[in-house]
Amino acid sequence: MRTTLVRRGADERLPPDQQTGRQRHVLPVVYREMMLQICADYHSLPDPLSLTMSQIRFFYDGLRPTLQKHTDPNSKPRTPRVPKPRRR
Amino acid sequence: MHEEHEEITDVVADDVAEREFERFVDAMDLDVEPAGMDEEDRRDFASQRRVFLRAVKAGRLTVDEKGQPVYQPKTGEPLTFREPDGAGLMEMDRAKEGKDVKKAYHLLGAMTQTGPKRFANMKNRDLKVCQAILAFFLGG
Repeated sequence: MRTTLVRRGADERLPPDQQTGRQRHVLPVVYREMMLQICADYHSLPDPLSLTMSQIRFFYDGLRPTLQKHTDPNSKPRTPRVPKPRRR
Repeated sequence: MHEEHEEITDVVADDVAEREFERFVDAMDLDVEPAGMDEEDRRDFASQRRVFLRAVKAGRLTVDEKGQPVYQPKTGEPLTFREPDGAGLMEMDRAKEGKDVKKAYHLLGAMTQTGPKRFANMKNRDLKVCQAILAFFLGG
């Protein structure tokens, strides 16, 4: 499986299971995550059950830059803006 | 174990079979660039491609106008392989973790809109071609 997932700010393949040595970077695992990610991040999508593999890849690829930015361990965490107190 | 062997005579020319394969790969947006493959992937891909081309040359496998492979098994209706969709991927969850063969049959059943049973009961000669088609998607 050559399609990658975003991890720690980069496109990566999932490493094999440490205990069993079983390959984890396989179609059901990779596409499940891609599908859940696009369902969570897009405001509107066609019926996810009818999305083909290439459409899932298309939508996930659109999210890659944002996912890379937000999962990058070197990026500074954003401090939440404190709203100014309102004048009465 | 006795298995029936039959004389295979090519009914489709080599270059036509190659073009049919290219059409399938393009229509399904499959990444088959050897550059992105490791040694094992490359070997597997070459063997699956061989199985695909042999079936096309024998006239048992065609690629329809949408680029979908249509396979005629020895018995039963022809099988049209659609690109897997979300529903098909979720079908794989019906098989327990670690039951990879069952998962593959579920996905094949969803792709061909038949069901896993069709593949569980299939002869090896036909199953090999169906698995080769599936493998192009699994590796992409």
